[in-house]
Amino acid sequence: MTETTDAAEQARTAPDSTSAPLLEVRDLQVEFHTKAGVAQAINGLNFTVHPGETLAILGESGSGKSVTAQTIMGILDMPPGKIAGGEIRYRGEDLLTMPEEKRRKLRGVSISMIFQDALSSLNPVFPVGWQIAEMFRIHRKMKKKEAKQEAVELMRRVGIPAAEKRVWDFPHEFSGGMRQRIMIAMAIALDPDLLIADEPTTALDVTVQAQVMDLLLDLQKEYNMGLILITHDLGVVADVADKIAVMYAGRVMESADVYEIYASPSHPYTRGLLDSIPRIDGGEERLKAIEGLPPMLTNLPAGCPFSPRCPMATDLCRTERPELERVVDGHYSACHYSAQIYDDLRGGAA
Amino acid sequence: MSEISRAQTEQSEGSTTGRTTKEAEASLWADAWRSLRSNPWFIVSGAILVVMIVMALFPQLFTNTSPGECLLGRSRQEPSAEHWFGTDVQGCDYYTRVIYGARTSIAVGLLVALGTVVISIVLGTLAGFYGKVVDAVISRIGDMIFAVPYVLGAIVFLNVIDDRGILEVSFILTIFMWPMTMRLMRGAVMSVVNNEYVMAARALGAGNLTIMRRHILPNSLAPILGYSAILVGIIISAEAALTYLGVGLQLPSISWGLQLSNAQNYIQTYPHLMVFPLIFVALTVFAFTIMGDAIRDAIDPKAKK
Amino acid sequence: MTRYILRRLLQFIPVILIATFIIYAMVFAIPGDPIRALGGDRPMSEAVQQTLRDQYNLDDPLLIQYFKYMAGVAVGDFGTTFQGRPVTDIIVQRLPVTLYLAFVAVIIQIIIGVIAGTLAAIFRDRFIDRLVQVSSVLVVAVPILAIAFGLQFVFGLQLGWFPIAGIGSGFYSYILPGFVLASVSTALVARLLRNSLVETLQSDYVRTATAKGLKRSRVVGRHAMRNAMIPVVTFIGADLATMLGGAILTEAIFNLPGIGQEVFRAIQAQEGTVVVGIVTLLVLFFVVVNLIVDIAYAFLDPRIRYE
Repeated sequence: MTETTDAAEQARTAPDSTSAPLLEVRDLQVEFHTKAGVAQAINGLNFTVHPGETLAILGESGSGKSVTAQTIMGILDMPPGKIAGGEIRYRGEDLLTMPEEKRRKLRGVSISMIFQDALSSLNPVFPVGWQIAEMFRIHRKMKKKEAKQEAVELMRRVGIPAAEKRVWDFPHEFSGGMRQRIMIAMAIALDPDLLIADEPTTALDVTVQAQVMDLLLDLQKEYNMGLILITHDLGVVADVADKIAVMYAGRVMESADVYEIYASPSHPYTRGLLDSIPRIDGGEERLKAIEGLPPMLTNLPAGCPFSPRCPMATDLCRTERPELERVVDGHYSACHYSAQIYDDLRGGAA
Repeated sequence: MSEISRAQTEQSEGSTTGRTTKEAEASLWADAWRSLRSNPWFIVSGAILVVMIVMALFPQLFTNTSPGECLLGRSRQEPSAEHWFGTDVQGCDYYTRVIYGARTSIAVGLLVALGTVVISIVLGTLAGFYGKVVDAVISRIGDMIFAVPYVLGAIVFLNVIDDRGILEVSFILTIFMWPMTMRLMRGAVMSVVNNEYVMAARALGAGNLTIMRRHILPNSLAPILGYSAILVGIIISAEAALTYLGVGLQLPSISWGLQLSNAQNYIQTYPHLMVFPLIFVALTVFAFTIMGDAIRDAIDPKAKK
Repeated sequence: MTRYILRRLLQFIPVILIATFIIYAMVFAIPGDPIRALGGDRPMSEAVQQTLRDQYNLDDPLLIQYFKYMAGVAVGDFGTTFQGRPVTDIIVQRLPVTLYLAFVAVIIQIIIGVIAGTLAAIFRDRFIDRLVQVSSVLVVAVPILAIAFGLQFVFGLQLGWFPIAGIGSGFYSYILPGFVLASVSTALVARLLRNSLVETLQSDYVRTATAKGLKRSRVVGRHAMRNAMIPVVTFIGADLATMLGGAILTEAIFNLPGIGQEVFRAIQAQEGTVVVGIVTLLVLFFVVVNLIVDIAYAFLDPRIRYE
């Protein structure tokens, strides 16, 4: 057995108590240095993922979801990106200070990622089977034939019909759904502990979306992976996530388990998002959209970044940035008035 | 909607399209000029070109000696205070001869570039706009000429002509140069011919000529115009090479290519005969090419790729 | 694919025929009688002249002459010179020099162009990138004559490292002309590869390759390079045909007894059969190379499909 596999094996057999987090992001700050100035893509991000748990990161485009995913994976383009502070602990070890070679051996092996657009994310000039088999050849030092056999197995597992025959086909010869299945096969090939899925179904037809999401969740249970699901789609989140973190302007605005968020959203932004989804029992009521646009990341407001769009904003909100604080156990919110909102909701329900 | 009001709407839409095209065009040129002014390559090549063009137009400003003033007695002298570039085989002042050479080279360069660009615009637009048979005929003719390396083709053609002056050489070079730029133009036309504003103009009943003049041409000229200065450089270089080979210009023309051709037998003994005209050809071609690069980057940013 | 190749070849037949016919017509339309010129000061007997005329079908209309000639070419007979020497012989003797020169030039182009382009892309916007970009602009902007004489002067005459004429020193004789012939193409390859690799390195699939935990060398060398080389390979192929044209000038400057020098000599000596034979060969070469480039393109980029 090689060094790589040993390390991965060791990581897997380590005591797996639910209290030990798989991934901890602490006060992460990421900037982009552009001609237009410095954009604060992530400022002070905090969240935790436990083994086997699904965390959904929810947010509009530009809220820093994808940057978060890329920073965890270590595939952020630097420059223009720059990690200005914080830490990302994987099983207690900080990925950001780890030697690059050690970190590389975690990529694809212990932490892997699925991208939004499978067509552009798969290399157009290599057969799909080759691209999957590469995982085994590089990280497990397998022979070509053996690796190809593994690739066929995986393609079968993710539901590609006639996998044996299609293993040497190229990405463009598959449908969108099938391509995303191939991306998934590649990501789970080495049985990772943590899977990051960045908008995995956004580019797909609605009917295919459900199938791919089902596959992803099946695999997550089967392999007991931690899953970070990045999405802007509240509908997807409700069915699959254990916990939700709502992001806005590079920060977590509110986080809690999924029932808690839906039952008692304690941040005006979360409430705005929930009000904007159509409901079957919605009746005559018009959908409410959140007024205004997300702030420019190069020029964030002094106080709460949501304050310019917030219907409840006060002078306090415009001058002082609220930190992410406990509302009740397991429920955090970054709003000066979240306790009040929470109580109102509970009071109203009671 | 009544017939009349619909017609009015269409008319106003039509004129809006026309105006936006023109405005976009104006700002395109303004943008191009702004980015050129701050490009040091453009400034340097522009300065060289100004000197070279003045030299071509008014060589008397640079020298008092006439280029025909040759004394065999002072043949092949090294550069000195009296003769800055020395003297040539016939004993002419080499500085004067080199100065007077600018006119011929630049004249051929501009003449051929003009001819090539005009032919390319006409044929390229026809091929790109009409497609099908017109395109096939024009493109195949271009292919045929393209299939013969132009140096070879030019040699064969020029060899037939006994008296080769500026016009003859320019004519032959034009014949072999246009297919390349025609392809550029054809490509640019084809990329705009299916644009929505062209469709809109067609739907409004605009004739083919109007569409070409008002919509196609203004939007497809950038690549070829951007290329034209580079083309002048290529042509001057080609003329010098052909003349050097002995199939280009002939005496009594005064040309850098001829000077190089005469100097090749003395490259070991009198290197100055080679060096001076070479520097002038190199500088001129360099300036046109660099200027062309700068202009192309400014007006046709897509070509950078 | 086979059908595509066949169709392309068929399309090229008229191109080849007309291009060679024009050259043929131009060469044989030269004012003056080549047969009389051949005799020089000593007038040939009418009988000998007539034999030669018949041999070259000079009394037939031009078009008939041409087709008689092309019928020969089709079976590998490029005719004979007025001195009775088969043109095929001349080609066989001269072609290796030109092929050797082109080979040296292509090797220079690939090695220097690819290394420079790759370094520039990897160290984008750093010193080495600027250096590659500026020098490629300079090389393209300076006329080939100046590059040729400059190299001759410095490395041949001043430093004495390489011969400046002839092929007497074997491989060494080809180095300077090889660099001259390769110069512009090398600069263009470097620039093309640099831009194409920069673009590829920003692509999603290169990000995926990094996310798979591959070493940087494999990400760049295999995943990015395999894509970035597609336009470069196409360019090098198409450029090979242009290079043979450039060989005429290079061979003249460095006095290399190749096919370019021969065709130039033949044009001036009005030896029509030699000129047309060589030109036909070059045009055929151009057509075949272009076809090979197109086919290679389909293999390099699986998304391309020819029908």
